[in-house]
Amino acid sequence: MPEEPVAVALKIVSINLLESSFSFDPQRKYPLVSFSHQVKVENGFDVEKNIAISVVHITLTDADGNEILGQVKANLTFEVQDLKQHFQISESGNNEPAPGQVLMATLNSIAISTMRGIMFMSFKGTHLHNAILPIIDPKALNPQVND
Amino acid sequence: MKKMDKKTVEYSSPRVRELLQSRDPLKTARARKRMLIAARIEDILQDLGWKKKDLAEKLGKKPSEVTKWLSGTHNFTIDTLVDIEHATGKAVIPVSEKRAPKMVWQIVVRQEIKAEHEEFIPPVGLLNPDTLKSSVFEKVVNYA
Repeated sequence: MPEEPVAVALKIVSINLLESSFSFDPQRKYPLVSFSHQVKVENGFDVEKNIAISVVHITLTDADGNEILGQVKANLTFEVQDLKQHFQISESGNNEPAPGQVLMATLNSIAISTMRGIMFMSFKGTHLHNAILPIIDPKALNPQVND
Repeated sequence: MKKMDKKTVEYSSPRVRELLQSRDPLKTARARKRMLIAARIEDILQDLGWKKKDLAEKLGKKPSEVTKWLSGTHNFTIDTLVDIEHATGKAVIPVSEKRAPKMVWQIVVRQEIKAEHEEFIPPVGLLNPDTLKSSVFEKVVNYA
């Protein structure tokens, strides 16, 4: 199998805000100065149609992760040129083609950046105004499931 | 000489209407799919430049059986379709062997913001323009 191309040609077809909510506890001391962002990115592919879908779900909690302060969920649909080229036989052993690192880093990076903007617009003017999603290295994301 | 009337005459028969309305949609869908499969096999034969008898020979069947297949009324079994695909090297009903791959990634990022104010500060858009001006001016003075 040829190596994965180093660049991905793609365009965003659609962005949909699926969920946006926050809670406000008047007993708390404001402004809030520490947060924890739980970021979950789910990627699905239709290789024949050159379509990739990323669903990003961000849960904003207090620093300890005990109390949910806000949640935002959105999906992005990408059209990727020659998506098949970006699928590689995984080295982990099941011989199934899996999305390559360049593709995953690109999609996750765009999805998270877009989500940062959506999240800011959702929480703008609230007590969560300053909870701007930090810059995340897409390579630091941990794969959770691969089926 | 009498001219022919070329206008289309709309014909409506209660019997025809009744028959059309009594169609079972499921049966219609089945008949349609059989027709499409027959048409697909005929296209494959045309692409390969084969005649019905060529396919019949490859499969060890009589040409009349292939004629029946191509009539659009035959209820194909999966085995027959696979035999045709095997003989022609072409997919009659393409089915993907792989499920769409799916991946999930997670990360938790902790964030500390330097607290410069004791009380909740509204976002810039909600600040009084005068306050904003003086604060900017103050910064400029301090910088100088």
